[in-house]
Order: sequence, then structure tokens, then C-alpha cells
Amino acid sequence: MAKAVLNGIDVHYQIKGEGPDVVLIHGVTSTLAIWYMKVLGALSRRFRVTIYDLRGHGYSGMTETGYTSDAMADDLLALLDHLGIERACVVGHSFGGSIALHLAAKRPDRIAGVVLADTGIACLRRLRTIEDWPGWKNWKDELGEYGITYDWFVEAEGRDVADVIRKSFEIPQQFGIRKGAPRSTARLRKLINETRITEEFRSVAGLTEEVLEKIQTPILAVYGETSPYQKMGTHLATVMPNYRCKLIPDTGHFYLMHKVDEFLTRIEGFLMDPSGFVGETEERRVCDGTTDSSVEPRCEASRNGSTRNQL
Amino acid sequence: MQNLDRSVIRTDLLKILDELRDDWEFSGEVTEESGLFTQLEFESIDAVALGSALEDHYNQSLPFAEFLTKAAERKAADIKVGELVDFLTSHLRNGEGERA
Repeated sequence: MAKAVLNGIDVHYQIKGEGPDVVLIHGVTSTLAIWYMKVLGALSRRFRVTIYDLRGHGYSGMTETGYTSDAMADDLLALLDHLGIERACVVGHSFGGSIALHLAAKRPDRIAGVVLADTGIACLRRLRTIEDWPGWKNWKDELGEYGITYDWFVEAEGRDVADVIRKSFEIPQQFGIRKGAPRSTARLRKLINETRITEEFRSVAGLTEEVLEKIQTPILAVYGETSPYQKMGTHLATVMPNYRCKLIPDTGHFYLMHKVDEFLTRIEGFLMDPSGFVGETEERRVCDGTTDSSVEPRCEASRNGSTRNQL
Repeated sequence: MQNLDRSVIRTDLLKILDELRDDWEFSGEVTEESGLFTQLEFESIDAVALGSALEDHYNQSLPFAEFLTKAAERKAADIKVGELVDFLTSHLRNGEGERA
């Protein structure tokens, strides 16, 4: 098991394959295991792929603080330095994408491209509301069995997201190798109950829309069609200059667990040549890959050069 | 590589599981019937660490990710320790994919 001491903590990582560097970052309460079963093996046929456990997660060290996208971008930079990686494409699931964007803003020389895998961005939280979350109808019956109603969710999320996460611990895993096993583990409980992660990862921490507008790094975003963050993906097309967005139909935030092949198909060309993939006309800044006609008009809005921030 | 007897592999595996306990926070008895996730309280990351530990121990690449993927696709995803012994017995005997 490979570990490096970076910014005062042990960071657990794995490297596989040969080729241009690609670094994969998991989301909050996940671990590098989310990439291990399929993505690592598939991408390592063409790339040297690094996966690592974020601070406080998996086999990396836990601290009380240090969980903003800014601080965790510093951890990523330290890992790149430690491994001698001059420049890499970075793929981030969920909050992992915010970390990648933050490093692209701070050190564009080190980031060749960013794949946002259903990333929620703190400065765009106004776009993530349960009222217009397309997937709520898919989950409400199941969540209701655990006492999670619409009213409870809205109230709890507004008060303290830690309560939402603690409540989710009562729901067995829905996908993957731990399907049916309890979501709650000792490590997760410690992370949520004894650190400042739930307030820090939701803080803007300097990654504002004004900062996002200035990021010239090529960005490919892949959102689940029914994800609560999907609106952020379409909005970013009006904000970021070198940005392209794709949707995966009939899936939500956790498509990596059950539609990973569709994800890999969408990102492979980008990882081979990020600049060529997005270096383009306004027309190519559309969101595609969806059969849902209700989504397309929002994407068309950016293609036609409509006023920014109208979404 | 030298063929390994199932009982030797079983002993190896139980020893490796024991060595992982510091990271993996489980103190109960481990048998071939123990389910990694439901009984031994493995997290996904513990399974990844176990795969790395096995590859290091045998100095051989193993299709461990594929093994986990197949298990995850079953209706009941858990993996019993005995299944893992069978997996190792099969792949170590074949001597596939030895590390350079």
C-alpha cells in the first residue's frame, strides 16, 4: 500500500498504467475504491492513472480541518509534486471536480484538462434545489421508508447537511460491491462527527463564478440527466470559456456505480487531447447525449449566446 | 511459478487479513464462511487494500478488480473468504500475469 506524507498527513494512493498522466479524485464520503473496479483498469490501458484517498477518507490521514476545495487542491498539488507529475488531466467525481477546478484556477500550468463527473460547485448552490431535482421522483418512495420526506429533506439540508449525511447512514448501500451492507462505517462517522468537513466542503472558499470564468483549462463535464447537480452543468456552459458538457440519460449523481461504461465512452477522447476536444466554435459548447427534450433548450441557450447567468 | 496448495493459500490469506486489521478495524473470528462486507465489516477501500496486499505478498498481478466487479453484479454482492481462497487458488496456480 503506497502512502506519502503530504501537508502533514499520510496520503494513500495507487498508480497503474503507462502514458499521459490522469489523476482521479473521488467525492466526499467516498474513497479511491470508486475508481478501482472498472475505471482504473480501463483508463490504465492508455494512461498512467493515479487514484488517491482524499484527506479524511479511506486510508489517508484525518484532520479536524482542511476540507475546502482550496485546501484539498493544495493536497492534490503536493501529490503531483511528490510523484513528479508535471501536468495531468484530472477527473473529479462530485466534490472531487471542485478540487480539480480549484487547482486549475491556482496552477493552470499543472492541469491539462478537467473532467467534472457530476460535480456540485459551492458557488452555484442556488441551482441545486430539491424542488427542481429531476431525480426526486425516482427516490422519494425509497427514501420515505427511512423517514426522509420532501419537507424533512428541505429543512435538514438548509439547517445542517451533516444531518442529511447521518440520516443517509441508515440506508443500505444501493450499488456496488457493498450493495445491501450498512452505509455507516466507523471511519465515516468519525469524519462527519469529529471534523469540519460538512461546513468546509460546502464553502465557496474562493472558487467563485468570477474565478471560474477565468479558467482557460479545457473542461469536459458529464452529468447524470436526473442528477440534482445537472443544472449546474448546463449553467457552466455560459460561464466557462473552454467547456463542453455531456449528459448520461436515465441516471443521476452516482452513474459511476452503474453506468460507468457510458461515462468512459464520453471522456476517452477528451483525455487523449483536451484542447483539441474543446478547442472550438460556440456551437460545440452545447450539452448533448440526452434524449430528454426538456434539457436541450437550456443547452441551446448557451449555444445561441444568451445572457450569462440567466439560468 | 510454484503451484500453491489451497490450504497454504488459505493460511496466507488469513494471515494477511490479520495484518490488515490496524487499518480495517475488525476484531472477530475469520472463517471461510465469513462475508467480507456483511460480517467482517469491510469497506470498499479495505477490499482494494486487500487486493494490493495479496499482489505484494505473491509478487504477482491478479485480476482482483474483475473479481470484485463480478461479485458486485450478483444479486447478493458479498464475498465469502472461501470464495477468495478459491479465486487465489485458481489464479496463482495458473501463474498468470506475473509481475516484471
